[in-house]
Amino acid sequence: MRNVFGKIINTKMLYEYVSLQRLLFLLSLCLSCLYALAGFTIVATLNYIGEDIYGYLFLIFGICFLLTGISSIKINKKKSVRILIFSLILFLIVFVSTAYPSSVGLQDYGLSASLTYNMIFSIGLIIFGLIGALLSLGALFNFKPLGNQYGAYFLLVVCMLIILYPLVIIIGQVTINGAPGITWEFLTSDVRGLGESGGILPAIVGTLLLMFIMFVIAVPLGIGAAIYLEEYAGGHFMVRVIKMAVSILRGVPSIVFGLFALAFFVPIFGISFLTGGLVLSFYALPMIIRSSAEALKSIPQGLREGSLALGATKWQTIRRVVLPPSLPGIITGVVLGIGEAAGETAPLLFVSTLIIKMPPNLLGMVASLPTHLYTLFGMRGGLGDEVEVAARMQNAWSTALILLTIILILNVVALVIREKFRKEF
Amino acid sequence: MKKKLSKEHIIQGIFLLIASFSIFIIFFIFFFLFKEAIPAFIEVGGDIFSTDFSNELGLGGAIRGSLIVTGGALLIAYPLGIGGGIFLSEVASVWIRRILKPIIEVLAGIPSVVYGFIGAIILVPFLTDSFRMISGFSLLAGGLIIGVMTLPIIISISDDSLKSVPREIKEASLALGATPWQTIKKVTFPAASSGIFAGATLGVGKALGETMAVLMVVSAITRAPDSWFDIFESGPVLTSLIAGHWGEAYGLKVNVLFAAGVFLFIIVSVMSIISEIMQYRIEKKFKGG
Repeated sequence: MRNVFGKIINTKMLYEYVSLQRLLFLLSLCLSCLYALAGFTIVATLNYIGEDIYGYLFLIFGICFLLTGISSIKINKKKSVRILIFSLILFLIVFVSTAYPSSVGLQDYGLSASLTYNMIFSIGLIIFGLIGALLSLGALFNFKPLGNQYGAYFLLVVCMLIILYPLVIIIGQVTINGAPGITWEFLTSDVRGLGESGGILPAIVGTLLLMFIMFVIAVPLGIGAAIYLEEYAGGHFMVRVIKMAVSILRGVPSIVFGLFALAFFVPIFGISFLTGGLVLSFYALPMIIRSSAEALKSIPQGLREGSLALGATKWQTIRRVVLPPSLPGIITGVVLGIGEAAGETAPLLFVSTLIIKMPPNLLGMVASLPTHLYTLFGMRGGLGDEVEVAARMQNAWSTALILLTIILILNVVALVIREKFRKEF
Repeated sequence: MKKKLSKEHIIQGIFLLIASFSIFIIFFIFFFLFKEAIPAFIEVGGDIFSTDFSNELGLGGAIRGSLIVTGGALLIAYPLGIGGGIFLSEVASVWIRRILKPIIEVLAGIPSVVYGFIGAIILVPFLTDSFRMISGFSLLAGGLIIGVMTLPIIISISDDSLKSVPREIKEASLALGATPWQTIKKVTFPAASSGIFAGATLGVGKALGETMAVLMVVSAITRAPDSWFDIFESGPVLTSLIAGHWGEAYGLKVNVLFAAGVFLFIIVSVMSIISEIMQYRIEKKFKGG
């Protein structure tokens, strides 16, 4: 490393040459990033640009890399050859793009789709943009491991941006489309017709009712189980079995919970809020157990030993010493667990309906915000004239917005509690 | 003194009972699902694996559809999720991490019905347009949506596994002159990879069991896709088959849908058990070494 940098600093001419060349590298880096971003935007916003522009885009791209490749040939042969090959490929694409038909059928290969020119070249922009960025980053940093590192970090950042993208789309779209439909009347009136007019108050109250049932049933069971797992039985065989059961329960698909509700609860409680609340409690239970156990685990062992040494019994220690400081962590887990379960639709699918009137009956059919959204979505195809269908879609968007808002509020509450907790320890 | 001790025992017994509740639930679920599914296994017999659901009540097509959707989802979720996990745990500064972590949590908390809604309204028309499909409601759309929904799990598992690699190992590598990226690539990631793999089986389970989004973007038609590679067609998936055909099912069909539930339950449970055992072994290894 010292050698390389030493040369650069000592030979003045070379230094100037390198800095000019660096400018070119920077230019190609910016262009690559720009192209990748453009391709991503095209794919993401679903607005394809005119088909004939792609050829020019790749041409500019190719010329830029040709220049950088030629300019760096005296400095680093291997890298410049790589860049030159890349620019050649780009020119090849320009050539192909002029001869390419607007779409290629894949039916001959047993697939029922065609690849459109727009699709291929937008994705091509992303891929070649990323490759170009990596190449120019690698060339920009003459010390190879450092170039590799920045290249890798660049890709990781891209990864993270792609991950965050769906979130932006979902929150953005739901807010934009849902906000116009939210009025005081929408929030406070019964569902009228088949959901095309009126409000969603019964669904909101239904969701709160389900949360309440979960709070009564799942929270004591969850925290109790966590206390047993963390405080009473360390390394016991029973603990392994229970932990295994919790992790299996965590993985059980939500629709299986729905079937279970149908086979087990419905014969006892009928198709009712009680059934819905019970099955959601079981669904939320493993999450609550896991996060409560996590919170109990974070309490230093010394606190327990101190209390026991003073002559307190195990239960006194748990109640007075262990539980109070771990409470914020437990509450965070409870809030997140109940929030996640309240957003579930599948366990309630077989017991839910479009509830029209307030107040919802504890022994009547279930309606919560997610099931309401699903019912409205299911009726998008017909039932009524165009105006009614459009009104129903508007209500569906607004319902989604209310649902998302509730989930976000719960997440923020959990976050605030956790941040406070972090400061205390 | 003696009285106090017995009280302690009672309390411990109560907690044991509460803790065992999860085991009871598992047995209850399995028992009641299986009870309803038995007629299907007896009367349909070997035909249960045929791809024709409408006439022969076979679940083969749905199993194939589930595997295609899950495979597609994991192809998206694994590279992105592991990349995101590496970024979060190794590259991002403390502040970025503190901002991103709750955001990822929100991503995990968005209800599946919202994912399905957005998928059906925005993603599906886009796919129809891009691939000139007759209908964008396809296994491809399902794979994409489920992939996004599986991301948060893969991210948090990779993050946890990478964080649990002992600091001394990383510092030794850095002290030898390796760059941070070389350390991640050669030291941290290999050490964490078994943990990532163990946790990733949970992602498989989650992707297999996702219902609402699949129901909304794949739609629950019974005709199985002709080939394993035709992701551009719609088709049955185990979960959406249950949810979508419940309303019109009667007689033996109901039992077959329960059988589909049993299949799902067994596959996902096996995944969870494998993951749990692997994680146990890794814990032991790190403690022992």
